[in-house]
Amino acid sequence: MKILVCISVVPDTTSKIGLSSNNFVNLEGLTLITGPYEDYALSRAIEIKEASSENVEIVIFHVGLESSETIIRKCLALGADSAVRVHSHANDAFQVAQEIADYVKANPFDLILMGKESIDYNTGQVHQFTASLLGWQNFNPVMGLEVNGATVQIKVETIQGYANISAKLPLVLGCQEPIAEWKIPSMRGIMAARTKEIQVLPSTSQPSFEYSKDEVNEQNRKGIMFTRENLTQLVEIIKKESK
Amino acid sequence: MINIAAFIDIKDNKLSARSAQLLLLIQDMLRSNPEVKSINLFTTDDVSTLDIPTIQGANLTSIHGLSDAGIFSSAQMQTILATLLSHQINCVIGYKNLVTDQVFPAYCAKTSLPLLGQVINLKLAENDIEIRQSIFSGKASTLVKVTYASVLSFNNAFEFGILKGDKITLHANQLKLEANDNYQIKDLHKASAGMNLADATYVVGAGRGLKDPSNWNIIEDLAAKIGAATACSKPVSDIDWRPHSEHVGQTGIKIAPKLYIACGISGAIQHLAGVNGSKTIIVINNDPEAPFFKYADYGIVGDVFDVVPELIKNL
Ligand SMILES: Cc1cc2nc3c(=O)[nH]c(=O)nc-3n(C[C@H](O)[C@H](O)[C@H](O)COP(=O)(O)OP(=O)(O)OC[C@H]3O[C@@H](n4cnc5c(N)ncnc54)[C@H](O)[C@@H]3O)c2cc1C
Ligand SMILES: Nc1ncnc2c1ncn2[C@@H]1O[C@H](COP(=O)(O)O)[C@@H](O)[C@H]1O
Repeated sequence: MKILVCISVVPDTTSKIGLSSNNFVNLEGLTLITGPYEDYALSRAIEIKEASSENVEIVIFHVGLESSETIIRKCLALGADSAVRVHSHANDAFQVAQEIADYVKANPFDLILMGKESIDYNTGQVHQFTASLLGWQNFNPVMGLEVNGATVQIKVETIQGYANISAKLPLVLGCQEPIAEWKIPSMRGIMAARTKEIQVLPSTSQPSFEYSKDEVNEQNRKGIMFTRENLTQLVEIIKKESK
Repeated sequence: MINIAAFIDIKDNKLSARSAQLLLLIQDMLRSNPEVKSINLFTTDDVSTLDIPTIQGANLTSIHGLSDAGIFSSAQMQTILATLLSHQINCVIGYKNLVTDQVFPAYCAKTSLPLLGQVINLKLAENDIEIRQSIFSGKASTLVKVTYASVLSFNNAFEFGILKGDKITLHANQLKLEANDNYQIKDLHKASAGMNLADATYVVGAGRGLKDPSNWNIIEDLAAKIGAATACSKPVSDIDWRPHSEHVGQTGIKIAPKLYIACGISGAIQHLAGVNGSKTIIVINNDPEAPFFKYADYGIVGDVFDVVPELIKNL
């Protein structure tokens, strides 16, 4: 079985976002990580590989520049077998999905795992775009995944709660907790990753639109403090705000 | 020529508050751009007639056959896309939800219309729309100029205006989808929390400061007092004190209520990333140094087990 895990590379969740002189968010100097939802996707793929008696191959797929390679290397250290990087700045979801679909049309996979959403643009669109381009079924957000041959059992969040669903491969799944536990690379994994291949491919897609500029949100909260003695004022505020 | 499709929600035979925002936007699009020719409303809720703010010539389609899991099979999706194509739809609007998350990318993949997500604001001109998208979980925003021939998925914080004026009654066309043969639902579980967190107008959240799951009765009572949904921090759902469906933050649900009351939550940046769309934030924490106070409109340094029951008593 072949699993493609698509990752975005984003600033650490604690990063302070600032702008560079060209009025776009400045990523330079920020600590980069794999999107947290993609960590769930990769972690589950590794668990499936470890538990399976068959040969399970995990390939990491990323659209991005050289600056992402340390993060890709970390995914390899966690247990992915190889990686593909499409050399292009990821502009939008449709563009990324076209790259994934083009790659998968030329290199067949049984399962594509992604995060529920990236944490930079948070749009949660790449999976459905990819599924549409490939004519596959998509489920998102998936909280549990078991693979038995060509059939998978998935637990998917619904509007009211969750559903347990049985479906056939191939599928595109967007993952979220508690599908797996986040993993930490072992020393052996880090050593092994040094010789694993990161294939760099040219881009086949175009951006779908152009951004004019970014702005940082200044959250101007009131910051008014009450003491236990004037709790009644807080009560009045809650009454007013919840009317 | 612009033909608009809006994906709306109906509750108890009424337009939801968010869907009303979409209709206000359509009224403004009609005023701004003479090229707008038709208005087509779609819903996956069961409806036969619906009152909406007056939009001459609007039509309504009620889509039937979506499974209880809310996921379209590929064949069902093809039927929906064919319907949109038959109306020559080239402008699609809707709030981000399970339905629009499926239909919008699928339609854009088919038509190559640009898809703009997390839209929190926009400015209409005659020929184009300036879109503001929320990025980095609300830490920043980005501006994009597009033509009306676009697909816009709105963030829950998007608000366009206040509903006023006359109403008309629409009779819905019924669109029956084929049976889903792509997957089988083994079982469905309704979350115990009755309210949809992402849509809630008021939310009471609690964190590790509550010490034990058995202490959540005060949180539930406070929530019940003001008609709020309940939420929690990530560690609380990780240790199964509360269901995952209540986890808000960077890796959980993003909420945008009018009022968020945070009890015994430290205010880690990843938690804030899920709640910064709240209009008003009230923080209750016994540590005066808790980071959350810096992001609060109102705060009180106190013990949740003292303050919350006192609030309940007085509300
Ligand atoms: C990649 C990543 C993603 C994450 N995503 C999320 C996310 O989506 N959502 C999220 O919430 N977290 C997330 N986290 C975790 C986050 O960093 C914090 O650890 C978490 O939010 C802390 O939860 P808490 O406030 O409940 O607990 P704590 O940090 O332990 O805070 C408990 C608070 O309760 C107060 N308290 C204790 N007793 C009382 C009392 N009797 N009365 C009043 N106050 C009291 C304390 O002063 C303290 O401030 C993420 C972390 C990472 C690394
Ligand atoms: N640049 C990228 N390269 C590869 N996969 C990506 C990229 N950006 C997003 N994805 C995948 O698509 C998912 C949804 O992203 P988004 O639609 O941007 O919220 C992410 O969780 C990733 O799995």
